[in-house]
Amino acid sequence: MSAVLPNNAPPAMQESPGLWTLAWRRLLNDRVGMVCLAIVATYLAMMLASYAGIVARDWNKEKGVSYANPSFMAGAENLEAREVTNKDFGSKAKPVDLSDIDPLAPRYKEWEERAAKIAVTEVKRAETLPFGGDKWGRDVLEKAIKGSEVSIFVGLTAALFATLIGTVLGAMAGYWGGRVNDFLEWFYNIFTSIPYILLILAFAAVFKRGLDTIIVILALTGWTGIYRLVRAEYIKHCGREYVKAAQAIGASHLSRMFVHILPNASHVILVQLSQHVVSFIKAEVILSFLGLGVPVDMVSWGTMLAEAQNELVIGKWWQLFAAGASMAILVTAFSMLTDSLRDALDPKLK
Amino acid sequence: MGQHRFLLYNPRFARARSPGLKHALTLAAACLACALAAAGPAMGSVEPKVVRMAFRTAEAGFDPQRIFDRYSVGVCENLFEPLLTYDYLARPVRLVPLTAEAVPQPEEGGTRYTFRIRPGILFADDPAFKGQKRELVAKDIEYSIKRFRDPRNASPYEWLFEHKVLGLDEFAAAAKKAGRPDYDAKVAGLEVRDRYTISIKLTEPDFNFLYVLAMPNVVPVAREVIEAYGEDTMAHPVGTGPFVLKEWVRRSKIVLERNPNHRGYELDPRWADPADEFDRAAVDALRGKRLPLVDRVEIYPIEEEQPRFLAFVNREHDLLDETPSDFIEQVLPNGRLAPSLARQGVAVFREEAPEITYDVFNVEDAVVGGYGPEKVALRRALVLAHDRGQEIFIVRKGQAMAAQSPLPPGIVGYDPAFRTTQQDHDPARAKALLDLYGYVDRNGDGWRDQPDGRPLAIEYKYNAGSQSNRQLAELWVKSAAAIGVRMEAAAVQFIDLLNDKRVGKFQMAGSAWTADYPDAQNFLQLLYGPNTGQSNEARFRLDAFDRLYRQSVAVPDGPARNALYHEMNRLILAYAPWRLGVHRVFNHLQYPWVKGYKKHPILYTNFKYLDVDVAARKAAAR
Repeated sequence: MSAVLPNNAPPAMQESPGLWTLAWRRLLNDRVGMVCLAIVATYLAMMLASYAGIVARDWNKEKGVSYANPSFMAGAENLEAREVTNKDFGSKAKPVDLSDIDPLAPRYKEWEERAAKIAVTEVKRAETLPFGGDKWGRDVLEKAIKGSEVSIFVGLTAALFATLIGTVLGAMAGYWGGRVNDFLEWFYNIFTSIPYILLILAFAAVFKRGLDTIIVILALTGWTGIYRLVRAEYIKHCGREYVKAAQAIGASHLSRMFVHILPNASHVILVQLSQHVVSFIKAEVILSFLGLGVPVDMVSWGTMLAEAQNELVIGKWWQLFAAGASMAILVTAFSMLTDSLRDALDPKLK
Repeated sequence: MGQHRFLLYNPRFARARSPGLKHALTLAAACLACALAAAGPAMGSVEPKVVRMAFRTAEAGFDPQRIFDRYSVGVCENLFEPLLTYDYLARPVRLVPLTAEAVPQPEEGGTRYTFRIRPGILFADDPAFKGQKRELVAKDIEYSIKRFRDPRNASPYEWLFEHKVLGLDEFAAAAKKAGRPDYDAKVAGLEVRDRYTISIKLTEPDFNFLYVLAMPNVVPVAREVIEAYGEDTMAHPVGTGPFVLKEWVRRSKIVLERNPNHRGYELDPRWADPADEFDRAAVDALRGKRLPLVDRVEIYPIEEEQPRFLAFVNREHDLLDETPSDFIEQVLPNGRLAPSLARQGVAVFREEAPEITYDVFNVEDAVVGGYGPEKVALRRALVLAHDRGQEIFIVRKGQAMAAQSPLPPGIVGYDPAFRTTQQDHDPARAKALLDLYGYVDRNGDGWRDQPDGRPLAIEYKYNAGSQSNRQLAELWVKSAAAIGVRMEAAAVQFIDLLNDKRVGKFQMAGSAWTADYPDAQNFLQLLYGPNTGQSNEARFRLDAFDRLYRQSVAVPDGPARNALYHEMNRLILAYAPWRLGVHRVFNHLQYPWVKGYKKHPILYTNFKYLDVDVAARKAAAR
């Protein structure tokens, strides 16, 4: 039995494209998805530029008069622009002398000499700003850009953390089942039994205010939905042949959970991630609007909207417009991108 | 139909029964209300006169001896009656008898005051009286003053009667020891001579003591009522006042209705100023009528400025107390009433209120506190750094006057010639002062550090409730940053802020004080050492100041007392336990169907002097 092995090297096999390549191709064909991707990318670039200090670096500088008009409304009357003065308060009487009781009196002379050496510069305030000014005379456009930094950063990081928590817990519950599952379900029930906004407010009232706190709060309250979906995916996949095969070749539990099953559940997680970015951007805005959000020396779209509620009544619409439009565009684009991603990643639509 | 809504829930009816029964009763009351409402017009009933308005801050409750916020006390003005009160129209303010027969003359060198209560004054009905009419007697005054010293009440106004009434401190000490006072114990200084006469003996002369007895929370309560409701007295105010509390939804709705037991008042037009249009209108509207004329008052606490303003503009409210400064250009553009409001007949009452806003430094704090030159320098520098011009012209839209001393204009002891440069905005002098005392950047992070090298960071607590507080906090943070001091603003709830300030859990915080009585003493007591933990939020204890304060109490009004006040003001400026803010100017708005309106500088509300032209309101609604 002569066996002549035909020396035919396997014909250059048409490499079958992977899940991600296919998804990317589908996304490329989705025109709406691509436009949204471009918008989101622009926002992210803007946020990074603002973080690096390339744009809106001196957003906090008061350049214009109070509620300076936008340049395109230069002629409009601005009743709010008052001259700010620190002189001539009270009577013309001679200031009261404290020198006999003042603990600082022994060094009065030294104090005056030093003070005389410190120069104080007076800033000239502009009557108009490109897109109008806020109460303090800061540029609203720069505020909106700087505000995006906080809002998007909070949205992204909080969503990442929430997804991380949800995925790890969901994987454990779905994979191990039994006691672990019972315990995690019980834990999940506690979190979902409290209305979402109430839970956020409760956390916000307990923790110290700050940017990191908001991220922690949103992550701690937002992981539940992801947890349920991931758990379901894991329950589904646990019994599949490829997982059994992995077990047969001796793959460890961790390896089965995160090397074998995770990639097959990843499309769900990715879509959840981007959905949560959107809802967390909105949640940050709500928190800041209620005064539970970012500190006073920072700006976010939420604080801008909170300021704008009084401004609208007095006819100063530009801050509301700048913050509202920035947020609306980003949130819409992100949602539609998520939609496209879901379509692109869903294997059943192949 | 809206007017009958109050019948839906009658708290007195539903109280003190089992919850199930309570629901059943409420339901029954609701059915009854519907029936009555349907029958209402047919019965030809007169339309009730209702006044609706908003408070700018939520109330705490209505136990007069337990409260101190202006809004709760303002409600109590209508539910209870002190011995004395102020004339509605007289300016400067003038004490007149209310439940007392006359304003007593000081006896025994200003240490004894004797009151005779008018017989026949009745409390409002309450189940605690078991169906009997209950007359106001001298014992009620004695009981209520003792309540200020009851440790269970933790009264924020306890200081009014501390080191003041003969034997009362011993009473309080015994009460503290036992955990509860023995209300039957005799106090030598609270002498009940007969059913209607009480004579109060003070340990030292006090020529402002009559003002204390005109305060709307120094009022008689009935012992039966307090004992019947135990810890729930905040929700069960029963007094002799012209109104009763009909409905109370905490922090959202307060409804007052006419007290059927009330004997009625009459306006005294003698002190009216014929040149003042509000006085003339009030006299025209009220002369010879039996007050109060209003049947019902609805108060809605609304903290945010915008909804409060819009509720008035949309005619949901009849009065707007303190137009939010953000909207001042909508109401008074260039200082004149806006044409759209003028066409509707809206009137504006401009009030330079006897009040002051200030920022408190916690003088017990390790960083911002202390009395040494180095510590005083930090506070003084922060005061100089604060941009008061922006506070007045940007945050408050020019509706404020810079304070020169803790004393506002319009009170006894105010000196218009008193002026200081220590509270001006002067960043150069602030920086020089910090450099001089070693507050320089030592670790190179761009912020100044403490003289001993530890980093310097100061926390400013503010009320998260409103935008203007946030703006004031923002102003502090950037004013401090401009001289290189790191300040952090922490937003807290209003009630938490009050508590934190009372127990000294803060470094810096904003505050405001409105006169309880028109004397400088009422403001200077805010820094009197023994008042720490009550009204002295700064926890400021300076011996020199306390000595002067005690001296001033025992001297009647005159140049000698003014000299003492002058010295105390100077000490405050030198040690800077406060940054003096402003005296606000308030603009109160009324629709034309509200008659008889005039704002009193000391009393917060004036419902008992108002009338409502129901027909005019209806016509305007069309």
